[in-house]
Amino acid sequence: MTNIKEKVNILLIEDDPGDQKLIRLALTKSNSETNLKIIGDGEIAYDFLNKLPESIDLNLIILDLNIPRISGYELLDLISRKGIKTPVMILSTSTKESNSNRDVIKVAKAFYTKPLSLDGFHAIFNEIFSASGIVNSRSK
Amino acid sequence: MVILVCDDDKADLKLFRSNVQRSILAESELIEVDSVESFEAILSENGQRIDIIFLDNNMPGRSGFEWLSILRKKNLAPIVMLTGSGDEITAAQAIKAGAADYLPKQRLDPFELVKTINNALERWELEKERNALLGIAAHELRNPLTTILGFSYLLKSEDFNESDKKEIYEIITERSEYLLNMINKLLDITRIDLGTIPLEISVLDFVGFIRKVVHNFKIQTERKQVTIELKTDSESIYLRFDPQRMDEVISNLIDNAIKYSHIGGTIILEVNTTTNNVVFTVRDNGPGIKESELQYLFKLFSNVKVSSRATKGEKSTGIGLAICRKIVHLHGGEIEVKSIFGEGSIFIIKLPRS
Repeated sequence: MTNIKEKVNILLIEDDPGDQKLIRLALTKSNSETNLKIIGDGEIAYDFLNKLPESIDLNLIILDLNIPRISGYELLDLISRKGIKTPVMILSTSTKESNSNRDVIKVAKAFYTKPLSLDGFHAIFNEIFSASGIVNSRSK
Repeated sequence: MVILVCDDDKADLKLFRSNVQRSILAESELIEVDSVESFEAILSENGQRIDIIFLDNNMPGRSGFEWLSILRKKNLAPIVMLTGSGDEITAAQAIKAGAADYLPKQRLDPFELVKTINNALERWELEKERNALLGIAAHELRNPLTTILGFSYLLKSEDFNESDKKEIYEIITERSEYLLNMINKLLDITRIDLGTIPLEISVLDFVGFIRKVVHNFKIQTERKQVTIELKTDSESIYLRFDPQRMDEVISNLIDNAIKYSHIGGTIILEVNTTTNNVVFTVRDNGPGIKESELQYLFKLFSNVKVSSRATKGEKSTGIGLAICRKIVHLHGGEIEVKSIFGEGSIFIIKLPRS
């Protein structure tokens, strides 16, 4: 498997400090070097995405649907309206959401349900990045 | 009100209609179904509008129970089975199969009709509330558990340095304690509802009691640089209450006030007496609560409906205030909240002096 040593820029929108840590650790165990920006508040995330310059090199947005102040769905809607092409990986504890809201989540490239298992996480990670041209895989 | 009645007997339908018209529900819209053929079409057209369904036990095409089962699955509205006289066995079976109630046709009069409708609607609401609550409880329990599991998977598959490991263990411990706390609170609320924890009433000085409770928050207030001031119109007020239970209430309110205070904020506690009551208030100048959300505050899992968040990301189970209200009610008292969004909240407890 190939590893391209290129910095991967990731935006994590998640309010739970435990889950923030979990994802940060999971990313350090991936073979790519990652730049992780964490936003823990829906309104701040909204502002951030709303003012996102087109030139920004953002490779992945990881989004918890259940964040305070603004719902994850509103953020997805914004991402769609703004035409942000960055793939979105959705974190949710509810398997129901993953089935019933597929139509709502048009922009999301991947749907993921907690708990986060490393293998599952990397599988999705690979899928997203092979589609977007960045190879991020690791050999077991 | 929209009433759906399924009966193939024209005379019975007419009788039913006349009873509705003679009752206080005379303004209701009555939708009549008299055949299997018209059933589906009427349901798909009006399903969402229907408030209550009356179903005759002897319908053509399918047995009454088949109809009941079909209607039950659609989950549109409570179903009342119309039975023959003395047919208690059918009635019991109907209830078992999910009917909200039954009504023997011979007993049908405007008064019985309205009474049955009210009972069925009440049961329906309770059932809906219980199901919603179960769903929320499951969700609230699952959230911390997924974090714990996520870290367990991670620990199993990867090596971490000591400092990362320590942090992981701390998060797992904190989440597990949070879960345990939530489960204990849920058990607590069930016990209070069942009346299995009777109050152990003592006569104590309420002001001294408050001072003692406040003292327990020394570390928390220091950490957030929050000041607690206590104002009172008399140095000691003797009152009958259960100190252990009341400690839970007062602690919960103070704990919330700290969580929702900004760093460096001031919390003002007041104990005042009126002719009949001792009035205790907790006032914070935190983010406050939206007016439209105040109604949820004393309900179970209020955190799901109330959008205000603790100022430093502190967690809350959304159960504490529901317990507070129950305990205050057990004491014959009242609890209420006032808030100006953006400026802070005031919680007021009134306890009877005698």
